[in-house]
Parts: sequence; C-alpha cells; structure tokens
Amino acid sequence: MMNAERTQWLSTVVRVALAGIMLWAGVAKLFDPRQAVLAVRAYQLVPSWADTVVGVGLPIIEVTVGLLLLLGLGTRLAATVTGGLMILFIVGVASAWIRGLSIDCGCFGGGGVVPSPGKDLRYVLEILRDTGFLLMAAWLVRFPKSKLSMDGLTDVPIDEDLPDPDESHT
Amino acid sequence: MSNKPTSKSRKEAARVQAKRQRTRNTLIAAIFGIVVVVGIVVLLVNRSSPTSDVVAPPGVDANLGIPIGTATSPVVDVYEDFQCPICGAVEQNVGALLEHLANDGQIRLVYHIMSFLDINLKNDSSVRAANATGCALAQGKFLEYHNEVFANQPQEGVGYTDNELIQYAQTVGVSDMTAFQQCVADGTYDTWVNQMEINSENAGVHATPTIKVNGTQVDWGAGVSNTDPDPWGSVFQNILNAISAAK
Repeated sequence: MMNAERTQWLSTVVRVALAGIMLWAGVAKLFDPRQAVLAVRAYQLVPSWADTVVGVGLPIIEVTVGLLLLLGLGTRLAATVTGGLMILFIVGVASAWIRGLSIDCGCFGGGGVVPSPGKDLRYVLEILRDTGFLLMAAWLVRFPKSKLSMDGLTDVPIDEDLPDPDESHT
Repeated sequence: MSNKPTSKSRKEAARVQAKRQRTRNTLIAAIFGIVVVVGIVVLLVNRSSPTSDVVAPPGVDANLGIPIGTATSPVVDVYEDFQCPICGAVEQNVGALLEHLANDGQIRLVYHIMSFLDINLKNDSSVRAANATGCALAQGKFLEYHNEVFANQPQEGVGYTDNELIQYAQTVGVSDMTAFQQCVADGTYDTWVNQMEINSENAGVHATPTIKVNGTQVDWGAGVSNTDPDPWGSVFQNILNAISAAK
C-alpha cells in the first residue's frame, strides 16, 4: 500500500506529464487554426459547418486544461476534461480505422492498391497511446492531491462533495 | 487537522475555505478566458490574411482548377495530392486513359491539386510541388510536368526537394529554366495552391484521390480492395461507366 506522501508525488509527476502532453498538442493547433480545421475534416466525423468550431474550440480546451494541470489548479476538473477528450479521440481514431479512411486518403502506408499492414499498426499505436493518457487522467481524478500544486497552496479541498480518497490509505 | 477544532474556528475555517474556493474558480475562469481570447485573436489574424489576392498561373479556370482539352462536357474532376501514394497509383494506372479522353474531346478533364497531406506528413512538399506545377503550367508544360512528378513520387513522407522539382522541369523540356527556378524559389503560386485546396474542400473533397464525373463521385472503393483480381481494371471500368452515364 502506497503512503499518501508518495501518492502525492506520483500525482505530481502524472499531472506535469499530462500537462506537457496537452500543451504540446494544443498550442500548435491553437496557433495554426487553418491546419487544425483541416485535421478535423480529415476524420469526416462532424458536419462541415462544425469543422471550424471544433478546430478552434478543441485546442482552446486542450491548452486550458494543460495550463491548469501544470499549475495544479482545479486538478480533478482538468483531469476529468482531459479524460473525456481522450475518450473522444479514441472513438475518433477507431471510427476512422473501421471506416478504412486511410484507403481513401492515402494518408498512410507505402502506397499501391493493397492497404499496407502498417496502417493497422499505426491505428493500434494511436489508440494505445491515447489509452495511456486516459489512464493518467483517471489516476488524477482518483488522486488529485499533488505536491507543488496551486490546489495545495491554497489548501482548499479539491472537491468537497467526494470523500478524499487519500485518507483511507494513511 | 489532528487537534479538534471548536465550532467557532470550524465556521471560520469554512468561511476561509469558501473564499479560497472562489479565488480558485476565478483563476480557472481567467485562464480559460485568456486562452479563448488568444484563440480568437489568432483566428481573426488568420482570417484577415487576404485570400482574395490569389496569384494564379495563366490557364486555370474560374474555380482555379486546371482544364485539359477543348470539350465542355462531361466534366471529370480529378483531385489529387502529389504526396498521396494512391494518387500516384491512379495516375500510373488510369492517368493515360483520362488524358486520352480529354485530348480526344470526349471529356473536359479538370485537375485540382490538393496539398493537405503536408499536415499529415509534417512537411511542405505538397505545396511546393503544386506551386512548381503552376510554374510549369505558366510555360505550357502542365501535363508533362504533372506526370513527371508522379512518375518520380518518393516513398510517402520523404517529399520532394526543390532541386528534384527543378530537375523534372528540365526533363520535360520547360524552355525558360531561369524563370522556372525563380518561380519555385519564390513560391510564386503559393496563394493559388492554398485557394485551390480551400475550393476543393468547399466542393466537399477532403480525401485524395477523388474523381468526380459531372459532380458525382466515382465509387471505386471496391476497385481498391485486395480481393479484386484486377483492381485497376475495375477502377478503369467504373470511371468509363460514370462517363458514359453522364453523356
């Protein structure tokens, strides 16, 4: 059984890592909205009028939760949003895979008529990666208390409605 | 927390806590607000960059596509990206057929060069190759150059160097190589390339290769399955059927 101190340090590591991932993913898109909108379109999941809304809205959410996670401010809220995004991404990638979009767009693989086996591997890796991020977010929802956080600084219970899960481990 | 707080100090603690909670919520809202403002400003700055000042090579149609042949109908629109391997395969297998039909006056063939694969492949080869095609078009060598680029298509992701793009022009006999090199170096027709991409997206094309006959997309999904013993023969036939149906 892990003690509370170690759990909090581990949460710090997870929190900062996840912050880096969200900021890295979000900042590039935020500053290049045209490309972000194109990337959304490639998935052919949302109606075309919504491309811009998603293409601009998504990076705004990503950067916001990235900053919040980095600061450790509203950690549980930010982690919940991050987890929700990851579930959306996994669904998006899986649906692109199932619909065989890469065959149409020629985005992956070495070309030619027969779809390359590398395509499937790439989808699997993307889903595994996002699942890993989802698990990190889930950890923070479960153990939002962490060291070097603004939540800790202001000493405010992270969510009064829920029992503090750390207490049972001490 | 170990020493039991009195009721009074408990109340006081609750008050302080509520205040801190408010501060925290304000901070979260402020961060969100700042990011939203940054996002909107970036969007507006991007919007205001003029798309009206498109420098297009001579010979493009009103929609910025490149028409081949003198016929007016049926219209066969071909959407492709120079970095898309299956576009290369399409060119290799049915490109000559389409060119023949266009030159024979049976169809109006219109090429739309897209460049979104730059995003997927994280390079700028699609835009540079498309611009170079514009440079060749300006010297009356569009088809020859277009075919040469696809014939030399590298493995997906490797892209084209400027030197390679210039070499292809030499191979197909572009007459004014100085002008061509300048055109490639300057990205003279980059605005055209961008607008052609936007026009194609607005026409509902988000994937390459796409072929439309009089606006209806040719269904070739079955043609590129690996169970078809002659997949390109099927694609070939699908295109011919769509053309004769449109006549």
